[in-house]
Amino acid sequence: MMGIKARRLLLVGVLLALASFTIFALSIGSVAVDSPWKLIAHPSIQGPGHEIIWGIRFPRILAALLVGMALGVAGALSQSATNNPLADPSIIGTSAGASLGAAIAITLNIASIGTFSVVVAATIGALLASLATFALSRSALQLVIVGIATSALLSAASGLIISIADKPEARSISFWSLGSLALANMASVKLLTPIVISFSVIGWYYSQKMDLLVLGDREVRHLGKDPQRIRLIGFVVISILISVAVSTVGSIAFLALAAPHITRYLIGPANRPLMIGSAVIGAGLLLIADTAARSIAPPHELPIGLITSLIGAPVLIFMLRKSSQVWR
Amino acid sequence: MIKIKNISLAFDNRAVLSDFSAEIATGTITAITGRNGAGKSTLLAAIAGDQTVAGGEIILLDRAISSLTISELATIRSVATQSHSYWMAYTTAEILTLGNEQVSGDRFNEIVRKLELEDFLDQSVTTLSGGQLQRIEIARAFMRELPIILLDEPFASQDLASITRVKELLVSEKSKGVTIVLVDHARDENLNWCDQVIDLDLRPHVQ
Repeated sequence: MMGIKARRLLLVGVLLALASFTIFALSIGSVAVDSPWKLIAHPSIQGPGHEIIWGIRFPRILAALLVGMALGVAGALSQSATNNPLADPSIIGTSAGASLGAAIAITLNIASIGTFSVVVAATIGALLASLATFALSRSALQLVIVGIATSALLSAASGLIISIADKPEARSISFWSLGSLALANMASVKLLTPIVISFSVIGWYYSQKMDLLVLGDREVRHLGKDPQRIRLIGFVVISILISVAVSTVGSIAFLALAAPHITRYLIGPANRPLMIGSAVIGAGLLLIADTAARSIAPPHELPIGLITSLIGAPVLIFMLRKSSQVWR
Repeated sequence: MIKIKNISLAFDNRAVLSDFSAEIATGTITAITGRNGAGKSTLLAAIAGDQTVAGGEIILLDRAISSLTISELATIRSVATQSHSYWMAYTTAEILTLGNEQVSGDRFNEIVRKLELEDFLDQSVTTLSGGQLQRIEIARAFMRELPIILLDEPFASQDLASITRVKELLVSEKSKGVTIVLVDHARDENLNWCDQVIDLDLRPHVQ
């Protein structure tokens, strides 16, 4: 396994690459901008190009980084909390619960899109769904099966609500359930930043306790700790991170599963470094995917979920094949 | 001292032991033997506090198990279950350290040396054999130097040399006053080195 120095070096390298790509992402998009680099280097120059780069692309890039970070951390927490390599927030019901919570709140006019109240509704949905999955399953394998069933049930319920509701907003809800950053703006960034940063830090801090879970529930109890209690706090953090992501950009496929596996391959399974690595890898993958989604086939915008799967799946398979030690 | 007083045990709603009593003296090694399904592991789990007792009671160091919290139990006994399988590539050293952060470096090295774990301390636990994983469980059980150590089939996947190593460790820990209870399924094996053998087959079967 990699030493601390090598891990730090790798992290700095990935962060530098991410920073460079962030600047590059500002320069490309579906609308051509004259001399984009000049506008990027001098944000004070006004004009239509400035508006595209700093008013539209910049908040969208920040949103991609924050949502990617939230998904990476939530995915890593899910796998560690359940001690199951298949667990991800879309498999254990969390994402579907968040979508349903948001859909109900919007169609009942309790909350409107892009506000804090939608995040609250989504969090309630996510918590109820993940706790239900959790309570109904007795083993790690059951957790995945029950989770898939819960997800299917709640997604169907969201679909029904969206279909029945005669609201113009419902269209955006269905748009969201496929996931897109097209609607992300500065308001989304203001909503995302405090929640994603604070709960990622809480997740990181708390994740050390979850290392114990790898020993199995029985041994954790032998050590005098309650494994369900350790998990519960993890599930709350996962639910909040997923909810804020889902309520701003919809549910995005695959990222929460792939980011922690890729990170484990690079730096090993210890939870605290894993959280940091998954946050960075998640942010990077989503930014690359969103940049591709908005610039590969202009003026069309490709669904982000397709790109995250197209990029994430081969990387994940390649890494798992290369390392028999990480996952077997 | 472990006192088992008139307990009844069930596994998956099937009664495996009824009105069972035994005493295990401090600083001894006791083997629980019996055919498959006789309730050996269930009895060990009951002594560990993992399994609820239908009737009677188990007393560890003068306190009834039912009155102890899980954190109090954790200061009295440790348990090595049959080997655990891992999917995450923690190293052997990381697994040995988890939950044992207070253990001194000397104790850590002593156990690692006695169970011959040195060669794969930095190796991922996902690459180890069943016998190696089992020795990790045994090592974890002894790290914290608790008064009672419970071992479920500690010899099951070990080769002869490793069995000798484990026995030597058990005997040396016993000499420090540790009470050791182990489950062993090989009834014809020579258990002379144990101070007491509880053979569950010698008891009338529960129907």
